[in-house]
Amino acid sequence: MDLLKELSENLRLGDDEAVRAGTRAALAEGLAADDILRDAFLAGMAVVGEEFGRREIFLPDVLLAARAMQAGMEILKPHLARDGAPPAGRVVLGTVQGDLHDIGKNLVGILLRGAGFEVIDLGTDVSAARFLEAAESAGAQVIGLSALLTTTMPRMAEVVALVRERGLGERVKVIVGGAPVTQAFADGIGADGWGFDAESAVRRVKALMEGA
Amino acid sequence: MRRVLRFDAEAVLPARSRVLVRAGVPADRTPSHRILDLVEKASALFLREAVPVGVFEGLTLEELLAVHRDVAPADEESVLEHVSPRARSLALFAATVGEPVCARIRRLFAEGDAPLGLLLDAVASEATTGLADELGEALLGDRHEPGLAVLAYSPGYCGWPVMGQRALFARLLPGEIGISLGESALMAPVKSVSGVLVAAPPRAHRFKPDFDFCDACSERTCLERMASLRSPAGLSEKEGDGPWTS
Repeated sequence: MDLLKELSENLRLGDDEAVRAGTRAALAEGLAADDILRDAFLAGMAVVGEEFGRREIFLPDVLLAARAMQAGMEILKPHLARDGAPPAGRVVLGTVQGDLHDIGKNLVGILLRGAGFEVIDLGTDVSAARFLEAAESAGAQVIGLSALLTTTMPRMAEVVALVRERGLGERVKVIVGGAPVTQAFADGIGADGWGFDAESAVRRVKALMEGA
Repeated sequence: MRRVLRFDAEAVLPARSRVLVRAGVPADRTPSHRILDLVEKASALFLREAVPVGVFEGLTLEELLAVHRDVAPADEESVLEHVSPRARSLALFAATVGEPVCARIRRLFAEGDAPLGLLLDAVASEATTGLADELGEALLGDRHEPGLAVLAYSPGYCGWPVMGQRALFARLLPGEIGISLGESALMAPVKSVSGVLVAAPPRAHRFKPDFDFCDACSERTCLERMASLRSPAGLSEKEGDGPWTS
Protein backbone atom coordinates (compact mmCIF):
# COMPACT_ATOMS: atom_id res chain seq x y z
CA MET A 1 0.00 0.00 0.00
CA ASP A 2 1.14 3.52 -0.72
CA LEU A 3 2.91 4.98 2.34
CA LEU A 4 0.57 7.95 2.67
CA LYS A 5 -2.55 5.84 2.19
CA GLU A 6 -1.34 3.43 4.85
CA LEU A 7 -0.58 6.33 7.18
CA SER A 8 -4.03 7.78 6.55
CA GLU A 9 -5.65 4.41 7.27
CA ASN A 10 -3.74 3.95 10.52
CA LEU A 11 -4.77 7.44 11.57
CA ARG A 12 -8.39 6.58 10.78
CA LEU A 13 -8.05 3.48 12.94
CA GLY A 14 -6.65 5.53 15.83
CA ASP A 15 -3.35 3.65 15.98
CA ASP A 16 -0.93 6.14 17.57
CA GLU A 17 2.14 3.92 17.30
CA ALA A 18 1.55 3.04 13.66
CA VAL A 19 1.03 6.73 12.83
CA ARG A 20 4.30 7.68 14.54
CA ALA A 21 6.16 4.92 12.72
CA GLY A 22 4.51 5.77 9.42
CA THR A 23 5.29 9.47 9.77
CA ARG A 24 8.97 8.73 10.40
CA ALA A 25 9.01 6.36 7.43
CA ALA A 26 7.38 8.93 5.14
CA LEU A 27 9.89 11.61 6.15
CA ALA A 28 12.74 9.14 5.73
CA GLU A 29 11.47 8.46 2.20
CA GLY A 30 11.89 12.15 1.49
CA LEU A 31 8.22 13.03 1.30
CA ALA A 32 7.50 16.71 1.98
CA ALA A 33 6.01 17.49 5.37
CA ASP A 34 3.10 19.47 3.96
CA ASP A 35 2.30 16.59 1.57
CA ILE A 36 2.20 14.21 4.55
CA LEU A 37 -0.04 16.64 6.44
CA ARG A 38 -2.39 17.17 3.51
CA ASP A 39 -2.49 13.73 1.89
CA ALA A 40 -2.28 11.54 4.98
CA PHE A 41 -3.32 13.42 8.11
CA LEU A 42 -5.96 15.81 6.82
CA ALA A 43 -7.17 13.33 4.23
CA GLY A 44 -7.53 10.69 6.96
CA MET A 45 -9.40 13.08 9.24
CA ALA A 46 -11.67 14.08 6.36
CA VAL A 47 -12.65 10.42 5.94
CA VAL A 48 -13.19 10.20 9.68
CA GLY A 49 -15.41 13.28 9.48
CA GLU A 50 -17.46 11.75 6.69
CA GLU A 51 -17.87 8.46 8.52
CA PHE A 52 -18.88 10.36 11.66
CA GLY A 53 -21.37 12.39 9.64
CA ARG A 54 -22.87 9.14 8.31
CA ARG A 55 -23.03 7.80 11.88
CA GLU A 56 -20.80 4.87 10.94
CA ILE A 57 -18.40 5.80 13.73
CA PHE A 58 -18.88 7.79 16.91
CA LEU A 59 -17.28 10.57 18.88
CA PRO A 60 -14.77 8.36 20.76
CA ASP A 61 -13.58 6.98 17.39
CA VAL A 62 -13.09 10.53 16.12
CA LEU A 63 -11.08 11.42 19.20
CA LEU A 64 -8.93 8.32 18.80
CA ALA A 65 -8.16 9.36 15.23
CA ALA A 66 -7.46 12.93 16.31
CA ARG A 67 -5.13 11.67 19.02
CA ALA A 68 -3.32 9.54 16.46
CA MET A 69 -2.98 12.60 14.24
CA GLN A 70 -1.50 14.59 17.10
CA ALA A 71 0.95 11.75 17.70
CA GLY A 72 2.09 12.09 14.11
CA MET A 73 2.11 15.90 14.30
CA GLU A 74 4.65 15.81 17.15
CA ILE A 75 7.06 14.30 14.64
CA LEU A 76 5.93 16.32 11.66
CA LYS A 77 5.71 19.79 13.22
CA PRO A 78 9.41 20.71 13.19
CA HIS A 79 9.48 19.89 9.50
CA LEU A 80 6.32 21.89 8.83
CA ALA A 81 7.82 24.97 10.42
CA ARG A 82 10.71 24.75 7.99
CA ASP A 83 8.39 24.27 5.01
CA GLY A 84 6.15 27.11 6.17
CA ALA A 85 2.83 25.31 5.59
CA PRO A 86 0.08 27.65 6.80
CA PRO A 87 -2.85 26.51 8.98
CA ALA A 88 -6.40 26.43 7.63
CA GLY A 89 -7.12 29.29 9.99
CA ARG A 90 -6.62 30.48 13.55
CA VAL A 91 -9.30 30.08 16.18
CA VAL A 92 -9.32 31.32 19.75
CA LEU A 93 -11.41 29.10 21.99
CA GLY A 94 -12.56 29.42 25.57
CA THR A 95 -15.29 28.98 28.11
CA VAL A 96 -16.70 32.32 29.17
CA GLN A 97 -16.13 34.09 32.44
CA GLY A 98 -17.73 32.45 35.46
CA ASP A 99 -18.01 29.06 33.80
CA LEU A 100 -15.68 26.09 34.25
CA HIS A 101 -17.23 23.51 31.92
CA ASP A 102 -14.76 22.56 29.22
CA ILE A 103 -15.52 19.18 27.64
CA GLY A 104 -17.43 20.59 24.68
CA LYS A 105 -14.82 23.28 24.08
CA ASN A 106 -12.06 20.68 24.24
CA LEU A 107 -13.84 18.54 21.66
CA VAL A 108 -14.24 21.48 19.30
CA GLY A 109 -10.53 22.28 19.67
CA ILE A 110 -9.54 18.72 18.90
CA LEU A 111 -11.73 18.52 15.82
CA LEU A 112 -10.51 21.91 14.58
CA ARG A 113 -6.87 20.81 14.91
CA GLY A 114 -7.81 17.65 13.07
CA ALA A 115 -9.11 19.84 10.27
CA GLY A 116 -5.84 21.76 10.07
CA PHE A 117 -6.69 24.81 12.15
CA GLU A 118 -4.39 26.40 14.68
CA VAL A 119 -6.25 26.60 17.96
CA ILE A 120 -5.42 28.93 20.83
CA ASP A 121 -7.30 27.44 23.78
CA LEU A 122 -7.62 29.93 26.62
CA GLY A 123 -9.24 27.45 28.97
CA THR A 124 -12.14 28.33 31.22
CA ASP A 125 -13.42 31.41 33.05
CA VAL A 126 -12.11 33.69 30.31
CA SER A 127 -12.98 37.39 30.29
CA ALA A 128 -14.12 39.19 27.18
CA ALA A 129 -10.97 41.31 27.25
CA ARG A 130 -8.79 38.22 27.26
CA PHE A 131 -10.59 36.74 24.28
CA LEU A 132 -10.00 39.93 22.30
CA GLU A 133 -6.40 40.23 23.40
CA ALA A 134 -5.66 36.67 22.31
CA ALA A 135 -7.49 37.03 18.99
CA GLU A 136 -5.67 40.25 18.10
CA SER A 137 -2.31 38.91 19.21
CA ALA A 138 -2.69 35.66 17.25
CA GLY A 139 -4.31 37.20 14.20
CA ALA A 140 -7.25 34.83 14.70
CA GLN A 141 -10.16 34.87 12.33
CA VAL A 142 -12.64 33.22 14.70
CA ILE A 143 -13.40 33.36 18.41
CA GLY A 144 -15.30 30.34 19.72
CA LEU A 145 -17.22 30.74 22.98
CA SER A 146 -18.61 28.01 25.20
CA ALA A 147 -21.07 28.33 28.09
CA LEU A 148 -22.92 25.62 29.95
CA LEU A 149 -24.97 27.76 32.31
CA THR A 150 -27.79 30.19 31.56
CA THR A 151 -26.13 32.48 34.10
CA THR A 152 -22.92 32.70 32.08
CA MET A 153 -24.40 32.94 28.61
CA PRO A 154 -24.72 36.76 28.85
CA ARG A 155 -20.90 36.90 28.86
CA MET A 156 -21.02 35.84 25.23
CA ALA A 157 -22.81 39.05 24.36
CA GLU A 158 -19.96 40.96 26.03
CA VAL A 159 -17.43 39.37 23.69
CA VAL A 160 -19.52 40.14 20.62
CA ALA A 161 -19.94 43.73 21.77
CA LEU A 162 -16.23 44.11 22.39
CA VAL A 163 -15.38 42.78 18.93
CA ARG A 164 -17.65 45.47 17.45
CA GLU A 165 -16.34 48.17 19.74
CA ARG A 166 -12.79 47.48 18.55
CA GLY A 167 -13.92 47.63 14.94
CA LEU A 168 -12.95 43.99 14.32
CA GLY A 169 -16.33 42.70 13.20
CA GLU A 170 -15.25 42.14 9.61
CA ARG A 171 -11.99 40.41 10.47
CA VAL A 172 -12.97 38.37 13.55
CA LYS A 173 -16.08 36.21 13.63
CA VAL A 174 -17.67 34.90 16.81
CA ILE A 175 -19.25 31.46 17.11
CA VAL A 176 -21.07 30.29 20.24
CA GLY A 177 -22.11 26.95 21.66
CA GLY A 178 -22.96 24.96 24.77
CA ALA A 179 -25.96 23.02 26.03
CA PRO A 180 -28.29 25.96 26.83
CA VAL A 181 -27.15 28.03 23.84
CA THR A 182 -29.56 28.14 20.91
CA GLN A 183 -29.57 29.58 17.42
CA ALA A 184 -32.08 32.16 18.60
CA PHE A 185 -29.75 33.22 21.39
CA ALA A 186 -26.81 33.42 19.00
CA ASP A 187 -28.84 35.58 16.61
CA GLY A 188 -30.04 37.74 19.47
CA ILE A 189 -26.54 38.67 20.60
CA GLY A 190 -25.27 39.15 17.06
CA ALA A 191 -22.94 36.16 16.98
CA ASP A 192 -21.76 35.04 13.56
CA GLY A 193 -22.43 31.38 14.15
CA TRP A 194 -23.79 28.73 16.48
CA GLY A 195 -22.69 25.13 16.95
CA PHE A 196 -25.23 22.59 18.15
CA ASP A 197 -22.43 20.14 18.86
CA ALA A 198 -18.68 19.92 18.26
CA GLU A 199 -19.07 18.66 14.71
CA SER A 200 -21.49 21.37 13.65
CA ALA A 201 -19.29 23.98 15.31
CA VAL A 202 -16.35 22.93 13.16
CA ARG A 203 -18.51 23.00 10.02
CA ARG A 204 -19.61 26.51 10.93
CA VAL A 205 -16.03 27.66 11.50
CA LYS A 206 -15.07 26.33 8.07
CA ALA A 207 -18.03 28.16 6.54
CA LEU A 208 -17.07 31.39 8.30
CA MET A 209 -13.53 31.04 6.98
CA GLU A 210 -14.93 30.69 3.49
CA GLY A 211 -16.87 33.89 4.00
CA ALA A 212 -20.32 32.30 4.22
CA MET B 1 -33.81 14.52 59.48
CA ARG B 2 -30.39 14.95 57.83
CA ARG B 3 -28.20 12.17 56.55
CA VAL B 4 -24.73 12.08 55.02
CA LEU B 5 -24.04 8.96 53.01
CA ARG B 6 -20.65 7.84 51.72
CA PHE B 7 -20.54 5.24 48.97
CA ASP B 8 -18.00 2.87 47.55
CA ALA B 9 -17.16 3.88 44.00
CA GLU B 10 -18.24 0.41 42.90
CA ALA B 11 -21.76 1.07 44.16
CA VAL B 12 -22.25 3.97 41.77
CA LEU B 13 -20.23 2.75 38.79
CA PRO B 14 -22.69 3.05 35.91
CA ALA B 15 -23.59 0.31 33.45
CA ARG B 16 -21.48 0.21 30.31
CA SER B 17 -24.55 0.82 28.16
CA ARG B 18 -25.29 4.15 29.88
CA VAL B 19 -21.66 5.24 29.64
CA LEU B 20 -21.62 4.53 25.93
CA VAL B 21 -24.76 6.53 25.26
CA ARG B 22 -23.41 9.43 27.31
CA ALA B 23 -20.19 9.28 25.28
CA GLY B 24 -22.11 9.55 22.03
CA VAL B 25 -22.56 5.92 21.00
CA PRO B 26 -26.27 5.31 20.29
CA ALA B 27 -27.87 2.47 22.23
CA ASP B 28 -28.68 0.51 19.08
CA ARG B 29 -25.13 0.57 17.71
CA THR B 30 -22.21 -1.75 18.41
CA PRO B 31 -19.10 0.13 19.48
CA SER B 32 -15.65 -0.84 18.28
CA HIS B 33 -13.34 -2.85 20.52
CA ARG B 34 -11.23 0.30 20.91
CA ILE B 35 -14.19 2.11 22.45
CA LEU B 36 -14.99 -0.84 24.70
CA ASP B 37 -11.36 -0.85 25.86
CA LEU B 38 -11.70 2.84 26.67
CA VAL B 39 -14.82 2.19 28.73
CA GLU B 40 -12.97 -0.45 30.75
CA LYS B 41 -10.00 1.88 31.34
CA ALA B 42 -12.27 4.78 32.27
CA SER B 43 -14.24 2.60 34.68
CA ALA B 44 -11.01 1.42 36.33
CA LEU B 45 -9.86 5.03 36.69
CA PHE B 46 -13.19 5.99 38.19
CA LEU B 47 -12.99 3.20 40.74
CA ARG B 48 -9.53 4.41 41.72
CA GLU B 49 -10.33 8.14 41.97
CA ALA B 50 -13.98 8.55 42.93
CA VAL B 51 -15.06 9.43 46.48
CA PRO B 52 -18.86 9.50 46.14
CA VAL B 53 -20.75 11.22 48.92
CA GLY B 54 -24.18 12.72 49.35
CA VAL B 55 -26.34 14.53 51.87
CA PHE B 56 -30.09 14.91 52.14
CA GLU B 57 -32.30 16.69 54.60
CA GLY B 58 -36.05 16.43 54.95
CA LEU B 59 -38.26 19.46 54.81
CA THR B 60 -41.94 20.33 54.71
CA LEU B 61 -43.80 21.41 51.61
CA GLU B 62 -43.93 24.98 52.90
CA GLU B 63 -40.18 24.99 53.50
CA LEU B 64 -39.54 23.58 50.02
CA LEU B 65 -41.78 26.14 48.35
CA ALA B 66 -39.95 28.90 50.21
CA VAL B 67 -36.66 27.60 48.78
CA HIS B 68 -38.14 27.19 45.33
CA ARG B 69 -39.86 30.58 45.27
CA ASP B 70 -36.61 32.36 46.05
CA VAL B 71 -36.18 32.59 42.28
CA ALA B 72 -39.38 31.08 40.88
CA PRO B 73 -42.41 33.26 41.66
CA ALA B 74 -45.49 31.42 42.94
CA ASP B 75 -47.58 32.69 40.06
CA GLU B 76 -45.33 31.13 37.45
CA GLU B 77 -45.74 27.49 36.58
CA SER B 78 -43.04 24.96 37.31
CA VAL B 79 -43.05 21.19 37.47
CA LEU B 80 -42.02 21.19 41.12
CA GLU B 81 -44.96 23.41 42.13
CA HIS B 82 -47.29 20.80 40.66
CA VAL B 83 -45.55 17.64 41.84
CA SER B 84 -44.46 18.52 45.36
CA PRO B 85 -47.93 19.00 46.91
CA ARG B 86 -48.57 15.31 46.26
CA ALA B 87 -45.36 14.14 47.89
CA ARG B 88 -45.25 11.86 50.90
CA SER B 89 -41.68 12.90 51.63
CA LEU B 90 -39.48 15.75 50.51
CA ALA B 91 -35.76 16.24 50.99
CA LEU B 92 -33.17 18.65 49.68
CA PHE B 93 -30.08 16.83 48.50
CA ALA B 94 -26.61 17.28 47.08
CA ALA B 95 -24.04 14.73 46.01
CA THR B 96 -20.72 14.51 44.27
CA VAL B 97 -18.28 11.92 42.95
CA GLY B 98 -15.48 14.12 44.27
CA GLU B 99 -12.80 16.46 42.99
CA PRO B 100 -10.11 13.83 42.23
CA VAL B 101 -12.16 12.40 39.34
CA CYS B 102 -12.81 15.90 37.96
CA ALA B 103 -9.13 16.73 38.21
CA ARG B 104 -8.20 13.52 36.45
CA ILE B 105 -10.58 14.34 33.58
CA ARG B 106 -8.99 17.76 33.18
CA ARG B 107 -5.50 16.23 33.23
CA LEU B 108 -6.37 13.69 30.59
CA PHE B 109 -7.51 16.40 28.22
CA ALA B 110 -4.53 18.59 29.06
CA GLU B 111 -2.17 15.69 28.38
CA GLY B 112 -3.76 15.01 25.00
CA ASP B 113 -5.69 11.87 25.94
CA ALA B 114 -9.11 13.17 24.93
CA PRO B 115 -10.60 9.72 24.19
CA LEU B 116 -10.02 8.50 27.73
CA GLY B 117 -10.97 11.94 29.09
CA LEU B 118 -14.29 11.76 27.26
CA LEU B 119 -15.06 8.27 28.55
CA LEU B 120 -14.09 9.09 32.12
CA ASP B 121 -16.28 12.18 31.88
CA ALA B 122 -19.14 9.97 30.71
CA VAL B 123 -18.62 7.51 33.57
CA ALA B 124 -18.45 10.34 36.11
CA SER B 125 -21.54 12.08 34.74
CA GLU B 126 -23.61 8.91 34.82
CA ALA B 127 -22.31 8.06 38.29
CA THR B 128 -23.26 11.52 39.54
CA THR B 129 -26.81 11.02 38.27
CA GLY B 130 -26.79 7.60 39.90
CA LEU B 131 -25.90 9.18 43.24
CA ALA B 132 -29.18 11.06 43.22
CA ASP B 133 -30.93 7.73 42.70
CA GLU B 134 -29.02 6.20 45.62
CA LEU B 135 -30.04 9.05 47.91
CA GLY B 136 -33.60 8.62 46.71
CA GLU B 137 -33.51 4.95 47.66
CA ALA B 138 -32.23 5.90 51.11
CA LEU B 139 -35.08 8.39 51.49
CA LEU B 140 -37.58 5.70 50.50
CA GLY B 141 -35.99 3.33 52.98
CA ASP B 142 -36.45 5.87 55.73
CA ARG B 143 -40.08 6.33 54.73
CA HIS B 144 -41.03 2.66 55.08
CA GLU B 145 -44.03 3.14 52.82
CA PRO B 146 -44.32 0.75 49.87
CA GLY B 147 -45.51 1.88 46.46
CA LEU B 148 -43.74 5.21 46.35
CA ALA B 149 -41.39 6.41 43.61
CA VAL B 150 -38.63 8.95 44.13
CA LEU B 151 -37.48 11.39 41.50
CA ALA B 152 -35.00 14.22 41.85
CA TYR B 153 -35.83 17.72 40.59
CA SER B 154 -32.94 20.11 40.15
CA PRO B 155 -32.45 23.85 39.64
CA GLY B 156 -31.83 24.62 36.00
CA TYR B 157 -34.57 22.31 34.80
CA CYS B 158 -38.32 22.36 34.35
CA GLY B 159 -38.99 25.96 35.32
CA TRP B 160 -36.69 26.10 38.34
CA PRO B 161 -34.01 28.66 37.43
CA VAL B 162 -30.42 27.59 37.98
CA MET B 163 -29.94 30.49 40.42
CA GLY B 164 -32.29 28.53 42.65
CA GLN B 165 -29.10 26.77 43.73
CA ARG B 166 -28.42 29.70 46.05
CA ALA B 167 -31.45 29.21 48.27
CA LEU B 168 -30.96 25.46 48.15
CA PHE B 169 -27.33 25.73 49.26
CA ALA B 170 -28.19 28.26 51.94
CA ARG B 171 -30.68 25.82 53.39
CA LEU B 172 -28.85 22.51 52.91
CA LEU B 173 -25.25 23.62 53.52
CA PRO B 174 -23.58 20.91 51.41
CA GLY B 175 -20.22 22.40 52.23
CA GLU B 176 -20.21 19.67 54.84
CA ILE B 177 -19.52 17.16 52.06
CA GLY B 178 -17.21 19.42 50.08
CA ILE B 179 -19.60 20.96 47.54
CA SER B 180 -19.48 24.73 47.06
CA LEU B 181 -21.39 27.10 44.82
CA GLY B 182 -19.82 29.80 42.68
CA GLU B 183 -21.27 33.17 41.75
CA SER B 184 -22.73 31.88 38.54
CA ALA B 185 -24.41 28.98 40.39
CA LEU B 186 -21.74 26.57 39.21
CA MET B 187 -21.11 23.76 41.69
CA ALA B 188 -17.63 22.62 42.58
CA PRO B 189 -16.63 19.84 42.13
CA VAL B 190 -18.18 20.05 38.66
CA LYS B 191 -19.45 16.48 38.86
CA SER B 192 -22.02 17.29 41.50
CA VAL B 193 -25.79 17.24 41.56
CA SER B 194 -28.33 18.93 43.79
CA GLY B 195 -32.05 19.45 44.05
CA VAL B 196 -35.03 18.04 45.86
CA LEU B 197 -36.01 14.41 46.21
CA VAL B 198 -39.74 13.90 45.91
CA ALA B 199 -41.13 10.61 47.20
CA ALA B 200 -44.68 10.22 45.93
CA PRO B 201 -47.00 7.74 44.25
CA PRO B 202 -45.72 7.25 40.69
CA ARG B 203 -48.66 9.00 39.09
CA ALA B 204 -47.88 12.16 41.04
CA HIS B 205 -44.65 12.56 39.05
CA ARG B 206 -46.38 12.56 35.70
CA PHE B 207 -47.12 15.76 33.84
CA LYS B 208 -47.67 16.96 30.33
CA PRO B 209 -44.46 18.61 29.10
CA ASP B 210 -46.21 21.58 27.56
CA PHE B 211 -45.18 24.33 29.97
CA ASP B 212 -43.85 27.54 28.44
CA PHE B 213 -40.30 26.62 29.40
CA CYS B 214 -40.61 23.26 27.62
CA ASP B 215 -40.29 25.01 24.25
CA ALA B 216 -36.66 25.86 24.96
CA CYS B 217 -35.75 22.43 26.30
CA SER B 218 -33.69 20.22 24.01
CA GLU B 219 -33.15 17.39 26.49
CA ARG B 220 -36.68 16.18 27.32
CA THR B 221 -35.32 13.84 29.98
CA CYS B 222 -38.69 14.23 31.71
CA LEU B 223 -40.20 11.76 29.24
CA GLU B 224 -37.64 9.06 30.03
CA ARG B 225 -37.98 9.73 33.75
CA MET B 226 -41.76 9.42 33.65
CA ALA B 227 -41.53 6.29 31.49
CA SER B 228 -39.25 4.72 34.09
CA LEU B 229 -41.97 4.93 36.73
CA ARG B 230 -44.11 1.85 37.08
CA SER B 231 -47.43 1.58 38.83
CA PRO B 232 -46.77 -0.48 41.98
CA ALA B 233 -48.67 -3.73 42.27
CA GLY B 234 -51.82 -3.38 44.30
CA LEU B 235 -52.02 0.40 44.09
CA SER B 236 -55.49 1.37 42.92
CA GLU B 237 -56.01 4.01 40.30
CA LYS B 238 -57.76 6.22 42.86
CA GLU B 239 -55.00 5.99 45.43
CA GLY B 240 -52.16 8.27 44.51
CA ASP B 241 -54.05 9.59 41.53
CA GLY B 242 -53.31 13.14 40.55
CA PRO B 243 -54.55 15.40 37.82
CA TRP B 244 -52.53 15.90 34.70
CA THR B 245 -51.11 19.36 34.73
CA SER B 246 -51.16 21.47 31.65
